[in-house]
Amino acid sequence: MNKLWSLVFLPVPILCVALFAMAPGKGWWLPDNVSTFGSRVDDLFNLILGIVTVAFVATEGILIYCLYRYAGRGQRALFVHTNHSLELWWTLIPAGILVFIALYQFKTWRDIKVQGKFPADVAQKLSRDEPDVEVLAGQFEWRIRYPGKDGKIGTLDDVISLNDLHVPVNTNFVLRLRSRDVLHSFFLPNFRVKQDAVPGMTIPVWFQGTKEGTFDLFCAELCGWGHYKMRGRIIVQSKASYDAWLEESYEEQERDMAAVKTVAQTKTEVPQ
Amino acid sequence: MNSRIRFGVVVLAVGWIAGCEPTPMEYVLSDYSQQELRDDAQAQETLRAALVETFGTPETPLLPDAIKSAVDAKIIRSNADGLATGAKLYRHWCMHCHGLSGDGNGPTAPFLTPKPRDYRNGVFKFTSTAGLPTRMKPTRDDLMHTLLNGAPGTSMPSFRIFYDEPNYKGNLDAVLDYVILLSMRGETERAAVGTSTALGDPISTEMVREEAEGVAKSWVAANEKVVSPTKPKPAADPESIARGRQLYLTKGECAKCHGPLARGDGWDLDPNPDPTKNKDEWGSPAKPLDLTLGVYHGGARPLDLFRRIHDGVKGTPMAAQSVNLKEEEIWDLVNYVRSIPYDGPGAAATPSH
Repeated sequence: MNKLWSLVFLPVPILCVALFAMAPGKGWWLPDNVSTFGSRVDDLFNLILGIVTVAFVATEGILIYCLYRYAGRGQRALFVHTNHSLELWWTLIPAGILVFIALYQFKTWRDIKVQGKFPADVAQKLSRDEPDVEVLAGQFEWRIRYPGKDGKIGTLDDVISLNDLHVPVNTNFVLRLRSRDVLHSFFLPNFRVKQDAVPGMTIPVWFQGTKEGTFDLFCAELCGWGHYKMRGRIIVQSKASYDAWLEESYEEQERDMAAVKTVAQTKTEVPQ
Repeated sequence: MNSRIRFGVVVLAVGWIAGCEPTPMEYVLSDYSQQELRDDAQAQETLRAALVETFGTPETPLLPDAIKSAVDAKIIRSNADGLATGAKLYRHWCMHCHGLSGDGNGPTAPFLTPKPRDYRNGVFKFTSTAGLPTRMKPTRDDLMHTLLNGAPGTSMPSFRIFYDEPNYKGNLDAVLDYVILLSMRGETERAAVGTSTALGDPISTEMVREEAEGVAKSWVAANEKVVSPTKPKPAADPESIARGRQLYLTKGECAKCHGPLARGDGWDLDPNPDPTKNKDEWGSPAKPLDLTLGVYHGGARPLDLFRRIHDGVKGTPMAAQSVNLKEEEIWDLVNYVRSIPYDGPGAAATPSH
């Protein structure tokens, strides 16, 4: 009877590992990667997952073995205080693994996040203070400001988009991230980009989309009551359609006459 | 041991029974009604029942015959089922600021400046309509414009992605229908209480129905009062901007409130401020916009700014200038106002060439 407990616990590690093994095939795994550096982030993730899997299987194995082996002997467990060599090893081994991860990921982190190591064209845009776009996070929306024709942000011809971040495909794209009120986090799951927006700070973020399409933009930092609806989209499109969209948005922004509704428009009820 | 287990079971059971019962959703009577009818519990009850009979409950909103004119004019487009969907999404997206009854008093509201809109007096600030009465209703498109673009500089976000996405197709329209219904319901309540107090008649379902008819008609009437510029905006050349600056300081009387340097400090600088002007329709402090920020709650398009100046901002001291100023003068003002955040308020005072 007492051995039964080990049988109860045995399926836990087996199911966990099986679940992980089948997840990618079922589409329960990471979202599509559509950025140039996404695969490097995924590699790091997989590496850490591998290390954790080894530790998990080993500890679960020992746990279940002990449950089975020592059950029903009718004797109390021994309480052992201080075992220097044991404590040394269970401190040193995880510490070693952590140090390894910290050093191993450094190059990826540096290439993505460290300003001095940004790609040359990104660095140049930043040094001229002409990022491709400025994203202002606020409760509870993304206010996205394109520089317009003059290439400068903060002039009358800026194009403002709400929650929709349009970017050209296969081009390094750099944005300036700011927050209007509280902490927000700019999260593009498909691009493996996540960056906190901090009030009072201006933080550059860069990435390059490799696939056209519409993907999610989320706020990943609980920012207040409306956090759940602080959702946007990133639209990766060809340079031509990106330019066309910019032009069209500018036209709409400069609109000075009410739309004269045609019959077709009245049918689809385009709001003015 | 057994007693502990029993205790645990009892605690869980009590929590389960007491904690999981959903609270019934009910619209609250407005402060105004409660104040006017404070000595008459019977009248409060009648009013509540008449409003439920006419407009339904948050769970099952109704489309009464009394507002048929607004339905015919396509101001409310959903049927009763659509309204129920709209109400559900309203509770999901809007209620935490605007409140269950549309009273602008949701749980987040105390933290926000400016306050979320209280729909119940039927006044909306940013409209394309103008004329008499001065608190002209908005069109449906005006409200949709705010839903799609938010109100920059306030806590009202944009809901545009819900408009485009197939999963939500038409749902934003349903939410808007429900908001208009809440507004009509609130205004009807106020009108019924007002009529009853003025005439001394007891409140009845019939009275509520009549008032609802009147409210619906005022929405329909606004559809005929849309104002649009007849000429496009002239180029923002220094001459136009300089003319705008002159109008700002003199004929347009903008500086009186918005301040000579457009910092929204006109009243602070006024040695004899007009105390009637510091509150808006909703009882909040009215604050002239700081025009140096370049953030416009009602939208930044020239068309939006034209309408703000031409038609005023409803429910606030910002009055319509349609009589005072000619169309081309308003366009000059728009050009000047748009230049302020970038070139400063005085840049055009002395044209440099």
